[in-house]
This record gives sequence, C-alpha cells and structure tokens, in this order.
Amino acid sequence: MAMAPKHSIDYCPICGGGLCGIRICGMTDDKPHGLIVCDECEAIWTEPDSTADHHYPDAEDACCPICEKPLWGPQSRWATWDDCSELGWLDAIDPQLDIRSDEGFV
Amino acid sequence: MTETMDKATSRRGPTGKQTTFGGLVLAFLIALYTYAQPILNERMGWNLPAMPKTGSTEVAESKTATKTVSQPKSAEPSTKAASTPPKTSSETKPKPNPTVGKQDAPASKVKPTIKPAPASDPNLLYGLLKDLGDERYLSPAGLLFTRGGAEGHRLDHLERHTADDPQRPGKHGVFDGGMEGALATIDRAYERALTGAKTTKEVEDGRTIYTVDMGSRVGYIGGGDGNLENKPMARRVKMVLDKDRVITAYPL
Repeated sequence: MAMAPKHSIDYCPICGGGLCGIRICGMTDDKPHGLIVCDECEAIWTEPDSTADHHYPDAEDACCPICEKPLWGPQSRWATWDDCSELGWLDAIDPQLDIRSDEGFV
Repeated sequence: MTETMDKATSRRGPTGKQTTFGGLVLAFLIALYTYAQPILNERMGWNLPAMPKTGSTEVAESKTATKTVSQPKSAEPSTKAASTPPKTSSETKPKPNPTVGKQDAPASKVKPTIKPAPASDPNLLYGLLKDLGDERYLSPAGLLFTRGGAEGHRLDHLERHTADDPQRPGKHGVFDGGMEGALATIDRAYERALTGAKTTKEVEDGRTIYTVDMGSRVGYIGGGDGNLENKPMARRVKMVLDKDRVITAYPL
C-alpha cells in the first residue's frame, strides 16, 4: 500500500478516480512542506483544498512545485498522521478515505 | 406375450409422451438460458452463472477464459520475461496482496469480451509494446509509456489496475486480461478516442482526459466501493494523457 496515500482530503475533482492524498516534502532539509497530490493523474495542490488552483508536474520528471526537488524522491512521502499534524493539516483529512491498517489511527 | 407387450406399451405410452414433452420444455428453457445468459451479463452487468459445460473442448475453453481474467504471475507469457518492464520506483514497493487472486474470483464468472493481443512477437513487451530504449515503450496506436509516477514507471502504475485493491477507499477500476488485456483495451480506447466515438474529452494545461465508452465489458469496479456492490462491470475507460504519454488509465 506504499503507493497509495495514507490520508486524503477528497476524491480528485480532475480525474475522478484518484485520491487527493496528503504528501510531505522537504524532510531532508528541515523545511517540511505539504502537498496534495492525486495518486492517479498527479494533479498537485499546495494547500489542503482541492478547489484551489492546481499544477501538473512534468510527466517524466515530476518535481515539487515548492522546493523543485523530485516529487517522488527520498525527501518526500505520503504523510503519516504525525506528518499531517506537523503540517497543521489534520483538519483537512477525510477519515473515510484513509487506507485501512494505517499506523493505528482510524 | 402379446398381452404383456400391450400392457407394457400402454404403461409407457402416456407417461413416455409426458416425459418427452417435459424434456423438450426443459431443453428449450436450458437452451434459452444458455443463449440469454451472456447477453444479459453483458448488457445488464449481471453475474448470472453459466450453464455447466460438457465435453473436453468446452472445458478447455472455460479454463482458458478463467486464465485470461485471473492472470496468475506464473501464467504470464514469455514476452514479459524476455523484456521485463522497468522497476525504477523511488518508493518502497508494496508487498503482494494475498487477497488479490481471491478477490478476482467473481469477475472470472463472466467471460471477458476483450481479447489480449497475441504474444506473437517476442520482441514486443506484453506482445504489444515496442521498446524505444531509455525505458520508453510505444503502443501500436501511438501511446507512450515512460518513466514517471510514484511507482517509477507508468507501466508499473498500470499494473495496479490489473488486480483489485479491496482496501483502497472508493472505487478502483480493474482491467480484464492482466497487463496484456489492459494494454490492448487502452489502445482500442485511444483509437476510439481519436475518432471521437462515444468519447468525452477534457483538455487542460497540457493534460488530456478521455472517457471512452467501449460498448462492452472491459473490466470491473473494485476497491472498497466496488466490493460493496459486488464488483460491477466496467465498460468505460478513463485515460489521462500528457500529449501521447500515458499518465494513468483505468476502467470505470
């Protein structure tokens, strides 16, 4: 289940089939920041609101729109509950969209 | 002797006629059901059970159909082994889901309408994709499968849509026929999309999203919601493209 978001805020309003998952980036340089990424079409939001403006990364070389490091690089991952707490995005989580058998939460 | 035969005849007579008439009615109903069952499954999305088949040929066909849907790893054609798709994931690969094979069972009741491309050319990945080098693969209809996505390669992402993921919230479209079936269906959908037949198209910022009605079953809806609805059939294909590069594609 590593490829699916642990916590999401909505179904993707763009493609309809993806989950708008919460991702944390910038973990290796102590500048963590959050992203919302559709796990199907890769639409990206920089705030936990899927009605806000979104971006599309490069199809073959996707980068974080904030730090411009690889979107799927080692400094980035699907956010855990603690990550979401650190980002201050807990309120945006839709618990109905949580992948089961998460880190104890649900 | 003659009297005995007459008695026997008179005993068999009326009863035999009833038996014959009843048998004819039964045979007619069986024939009607056998004829209507796949059509009703196809058009209504039901999962009516097929009549048990007899005869070695039909049994062999049935086994072939089941294999086509389930696609166990061991049954994959040698073309995949000849040209293994890239595994360039930057994240940890998920462990194989032990429920995947079991969860496919209901879908195997319905004979898939798609026909996986024959693996005639061992140089083609999945019997369909031409290797352009640098982990780029070209389909006959002109779709490109390249690096990218959380899995590292679009083909690895597509593979997620060849098996159910019951724990995934919402719906999860699953193609019939494994990777070969998925790729063949996607190529047909793209060809149909280019003609505009039964297709909706949305273009935004370089991305094109096609929703193509394929007219018949191409897979089923799994995931949490799909499993709650007994895995209804899917006859449409959603494709998200970046020009001719596939970002994702799945049945719905």
